[in-house]
Amino acid sequence: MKKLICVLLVFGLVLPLSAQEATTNWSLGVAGNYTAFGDGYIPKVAEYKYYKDGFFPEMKFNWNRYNGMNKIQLNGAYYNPKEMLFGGDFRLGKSVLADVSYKSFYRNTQLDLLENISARESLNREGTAPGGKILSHEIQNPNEQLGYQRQEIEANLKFLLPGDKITLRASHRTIMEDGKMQHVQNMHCASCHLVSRPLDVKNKTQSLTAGLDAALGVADLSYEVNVRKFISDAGPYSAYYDSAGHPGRGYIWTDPNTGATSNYYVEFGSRLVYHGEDVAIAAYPETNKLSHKITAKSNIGKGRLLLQYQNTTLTNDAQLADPNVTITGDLKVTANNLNGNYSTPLMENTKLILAGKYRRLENEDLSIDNPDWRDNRPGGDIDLDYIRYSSLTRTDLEGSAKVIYQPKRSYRLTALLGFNSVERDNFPIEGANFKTDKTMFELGVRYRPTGKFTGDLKYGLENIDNPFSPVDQMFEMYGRGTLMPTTGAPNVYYWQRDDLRYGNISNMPAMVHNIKATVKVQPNKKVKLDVGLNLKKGSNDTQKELDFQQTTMAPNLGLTLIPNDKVNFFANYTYVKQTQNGLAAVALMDG
Amino acid sequence: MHFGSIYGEFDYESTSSVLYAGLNFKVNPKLKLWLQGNYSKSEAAFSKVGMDMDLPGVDEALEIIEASDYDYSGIPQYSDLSYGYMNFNARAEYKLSDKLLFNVDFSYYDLTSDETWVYGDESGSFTVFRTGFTLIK
Repeated sequence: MKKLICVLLVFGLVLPLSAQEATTNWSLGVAGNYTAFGDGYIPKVAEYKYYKDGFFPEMKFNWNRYNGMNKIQLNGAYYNPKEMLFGGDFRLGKSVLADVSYKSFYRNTQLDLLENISARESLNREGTAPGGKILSHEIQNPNEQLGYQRQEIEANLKFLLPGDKITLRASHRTIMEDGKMQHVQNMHCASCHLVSRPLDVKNKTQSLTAGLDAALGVADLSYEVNVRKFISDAGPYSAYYDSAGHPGRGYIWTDPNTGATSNYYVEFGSRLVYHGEDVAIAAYPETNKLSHKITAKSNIGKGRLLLQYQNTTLTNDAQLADPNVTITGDLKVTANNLNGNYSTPLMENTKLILAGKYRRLENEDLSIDNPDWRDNRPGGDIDLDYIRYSSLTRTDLEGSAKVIYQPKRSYRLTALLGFNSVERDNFPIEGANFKTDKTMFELGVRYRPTGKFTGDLKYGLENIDNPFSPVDQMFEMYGRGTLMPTTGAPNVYYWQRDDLRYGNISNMPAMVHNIKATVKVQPNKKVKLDVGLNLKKGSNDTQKELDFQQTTMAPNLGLTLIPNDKVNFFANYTYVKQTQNGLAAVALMDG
Repeated sequence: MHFGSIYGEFDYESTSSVLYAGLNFKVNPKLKLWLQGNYSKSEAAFSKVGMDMDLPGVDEALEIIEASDYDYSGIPQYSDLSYGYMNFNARAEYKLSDKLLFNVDFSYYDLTSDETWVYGDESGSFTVFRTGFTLIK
């Protein structure tokens, strides 16, 4: 708020306006509002409402001053201590343009009661009593108000240099979020226990942009640099994680038949990264982004060409607080984007638009050093260190050609042919290069015989080769007698089950048909009718176990009536229905 | 200990309707009225999940596994969603003079949740009543 007031004062001092030619108008509104919440549940129905009921004063104002090309516009509205907005627009001749704004609102968030996560193993191994594996939960401070205030300050400045060819621009944006959110801690081993607790939210995002636009006659060139930073001032937080133990027998157990003693604290503990200790939770990243963007526009032949290149680097500078795991490498993503389009007349009444995009994303490989699994145990000391090869690393290619034919004002035909190819370097494993290719075709027609009627019909077809899917995840093969304990180990362990998995089941279609139809009728200035229908059918019959089908239907209807200058009626109805099928799969196992 | 997998196909259906309407009425040169309302109804549900127990090896597995229950027909009810949301706004503005307006506003919000799930029963409502003056130059 202080920053906003300072900016407003600065612009007030540097923008003198001539009193003789200036016009000023303003409005000031004061009000009071009384909010009453019912007895029911509030966070959902009042998700974006300040959570206190009672009386609140309100204020609104507008102040505008114009003098030829110069102007100052100030406006604001105050509803309650968490909801308000203020802004200002300034113009000095044709050279200086500026605007500044402050917005604030409150968002209520909900508490997951965790009551749907409640289960127990039905019988023990002998089948004589309820099993010991239990899922449970607890909610700490259930009456704590959850939600956050979001404040945003934005300022933009444009300065046209003498000569009217070069424009300098700068902008700043700050977003702050303060409040409390639910955090759920998932305790592993023995208890399978969830603990919910409210934790602070103190997020801050700051973005600074500077740019230069040059109209050089031959071409228009732009350069822009952006720096963006995110940090959280909440915490640090930690929570206690239960010690490892047997869910039915506890930490140490003696077999009544054989007299043998099992130390589950040591055995199960040797399979965990941490247990019986405080561990850091709810850690936020500290991200820094730097991007450079160059844009060029020029007339080439009879058409207009636009080319744009952007380089972005994103790093996470937060330190991992876990002393048991060591991560080596840079938490860094690099992106290079190149896109362009060329629009040109092809022949009489026909226009061609070519578009292309190339994007390369690279997420650095990371070395993850874990404690040895079952350290110092028989058949243990297994090294589970690995290198994280990111599935974000990919190449994305896109291209399209669109032809628009309009011989008369009353109708227009369009045709589009396009493709998109996404290649994920390291999915599902390093160097696997999972590739999805999409081909698109679209036909459209617009009929507008007069200004009173407009009809649009569009048909689209997509053919997707190798839709994205999890790989070797859906099912398990018969494993009895196939899986063997590792050398020296007494048993087969759960992590070995991944060797049994197979099945690439996707809920992404391989073929999509899409039809869109809209009709707008306006027989006179008093009546307007809009009718639309969107139909979409997706399918994927390339999977043996699932013939995937997805259907979407979305009609809409709009009506506006203005019988005279006193009455204005409008109504709109939208309906969406989507159906699709899927698979549920479970493993048959006896523990 | 592992006998493979059983699986079954299910359907998922979601629907959403939204109706929005408004009326602006200038009663006379001094009095204006606004009425607006919107109603939305959203539902989603899974069909029953029936596992295919005729897959190869299932009978042998069920004989060996001591305790098992592969009846998942009750699962869909955990994911049923049904919401009805209504909002109504009414405003009257009276021109006391060329420079002074008086306004009265009333708003009502209501959400009805017919299926409780993760957050419990989310049904609730609230009202807002507002009066004020606006000075104009």
